[in-house]
Amino acid sequence: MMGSLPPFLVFFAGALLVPLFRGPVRKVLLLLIPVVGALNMSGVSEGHALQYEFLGYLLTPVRADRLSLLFGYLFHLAAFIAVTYALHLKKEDGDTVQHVSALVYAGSALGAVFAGDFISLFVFWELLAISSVFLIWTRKTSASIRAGMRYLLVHVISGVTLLAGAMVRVHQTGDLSFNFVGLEGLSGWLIFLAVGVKAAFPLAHSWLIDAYPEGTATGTVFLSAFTTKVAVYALARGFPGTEVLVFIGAAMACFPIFYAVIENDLRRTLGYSMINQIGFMVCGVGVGSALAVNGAVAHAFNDVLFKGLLFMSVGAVMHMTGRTKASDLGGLYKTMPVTATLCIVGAMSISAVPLFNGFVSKSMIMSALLEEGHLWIWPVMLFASAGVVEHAGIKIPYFAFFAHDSGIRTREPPWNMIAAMGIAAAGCVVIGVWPGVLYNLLPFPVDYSPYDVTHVLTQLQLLLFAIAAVAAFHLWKIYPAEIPSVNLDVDWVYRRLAPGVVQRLGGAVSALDSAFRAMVAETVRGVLRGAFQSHGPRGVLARSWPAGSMVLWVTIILAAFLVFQFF
Amino acid sequence: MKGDGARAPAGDPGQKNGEDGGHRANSVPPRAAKLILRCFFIVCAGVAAADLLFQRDRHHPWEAAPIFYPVLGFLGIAGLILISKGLRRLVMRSEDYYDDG
Repeated sequence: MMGSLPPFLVFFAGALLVPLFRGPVRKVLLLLIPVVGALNMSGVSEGHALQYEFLGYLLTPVRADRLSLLFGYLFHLAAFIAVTYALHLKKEDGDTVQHVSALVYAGSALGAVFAGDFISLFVFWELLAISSVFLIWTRKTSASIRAGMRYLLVHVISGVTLLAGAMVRVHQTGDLSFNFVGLEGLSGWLIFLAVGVKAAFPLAHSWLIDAYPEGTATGTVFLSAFTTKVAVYALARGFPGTEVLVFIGAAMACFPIFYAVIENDLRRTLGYSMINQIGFMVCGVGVGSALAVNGAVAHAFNDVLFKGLLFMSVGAVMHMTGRTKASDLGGLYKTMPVTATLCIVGAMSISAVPLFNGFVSKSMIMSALLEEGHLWIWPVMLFASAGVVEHAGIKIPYFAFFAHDSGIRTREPPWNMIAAMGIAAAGCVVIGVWPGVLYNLLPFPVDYSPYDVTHVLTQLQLLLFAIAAVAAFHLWKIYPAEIPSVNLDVDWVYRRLAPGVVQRLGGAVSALDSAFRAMVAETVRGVLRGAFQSHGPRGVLARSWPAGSMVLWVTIILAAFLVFQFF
Repeated sequence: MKGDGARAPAGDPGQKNGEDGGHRANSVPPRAAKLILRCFFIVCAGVAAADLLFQRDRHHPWEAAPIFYPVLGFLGIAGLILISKGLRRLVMRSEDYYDDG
């Protein structure tokens, strides 16, 4: 560690410098930040830690081991690709806000994966949310502003839950360090829930579907790389071998693919696809064996490349045409052939076609499921693998670049977008052809080869016949049409149901309040009327009584007392 | 964002793509599409036949069934598409559903 700065500091310092420059100088600076960061991180070796005492607690803002270093390399690579993709931004795109928030966001992700204690983790956890929301808001549509608010709210709740779990843990054990947590006790469950929200567990997933498609074309590329991968890292660190994750992962891998088939917005389709891929990672962490955890984190690494590539290619379409809906697109391969080709590389990678990177990591998870005896989950995940081909492998490139001719005639996106997509595509192929490049970085020693007859043949059979089914359904004209629409998901609960319930409750409370107020007012009016009758100008008590009458009444009262005295 | 894609008169946004999008010209020439599909189905048949030629490892009882993976791949996607069509009836709303809320 000696001689190296904490990895996040390079990005934070870069974020301070970037607003001071414009034009080519800023572009060079933006490209240099992840490069300098990577060089700085190469000096951080396994086992090193940076610790200091704060308010009586021993904090570890930097703790390096193979797991954190792998995510460190990944985030530097992701930042470099995404920054390259965002170089063309201009003042009217909110370039300074996007560049600065993206750098703080990338730095926060690095801070989170190197954090060795819960307080440091919490700080970076919240910074992730606060910095990334500007990548949504900068789109400046009313939908993006509202989606950004919901996104921020969900992530702040996740952070507060994490802090509550950490406080309970410190109170119970006195241990602040972020290592294996497990599901023992309240603190374990609170931390698990906090991580689960960020990992887009089922029922806590809709923030991703809601917010990511509302981000800017460049911002969503950053968003796709960091938040959910930090959550996968946190699960791999704190909950490896937690069996419930196997079932959660299987659910995550399966349910989004049904939505992805009928979703019209291609970036929202990729959002569902992202949950599906995280499902594989979560499942791998839940299995917990060395092969499974290696597979999970390797798949996280690969997902950043191929999902980033897919988001970039759809983002390039959005940048050039202003459209992301399948019903509006089609036929763009004629004018965007390079983008279409790179999109197909991403589609083949996410589909786990042999020689592409998805294959070398997903097959590790599938093999681990069989090795560890999860015989009922394995076919479920196999089905989910086939489902990926349908929505990400075919639907994205087909409806954007082929299908029916939309009539849109445009051109290729700026060079920097092509370059960024090219780097990601090269990464997909290099890791697919030479998996050792990635395997050597994994947390546990790897004794696994994806390239044998069984793996390659069975994967090809699964993929080709999945594609055949899609082709057949198209030919038979029963494939779901792309219809301009929205599909109700869990976010309906807080976007429609909850406001409706609150509105009705408010109406009922308001009616009750009005009735109560009317009753009180009527009572007060009655009292006033009575008082007026008795004490008003014509009231009995306000009358001027003659002295004789007074004497008469006094005599009667005294006589009454006298009578009572006798008895 | 640029959004400067000029539109040739082939179609309008907002129209359906897919099963009933026949009113719009296919972007791939029909003869080329037919040839690609024909070649693709031949490759599929070859890959399925390879199951009978190669001895593959079996770790799951279901894998013992011949052409297990092709059947799972095809039926899995068929089921996925049919169920998704049913799901659409349940969850699909107009594009401005949340706007007027």
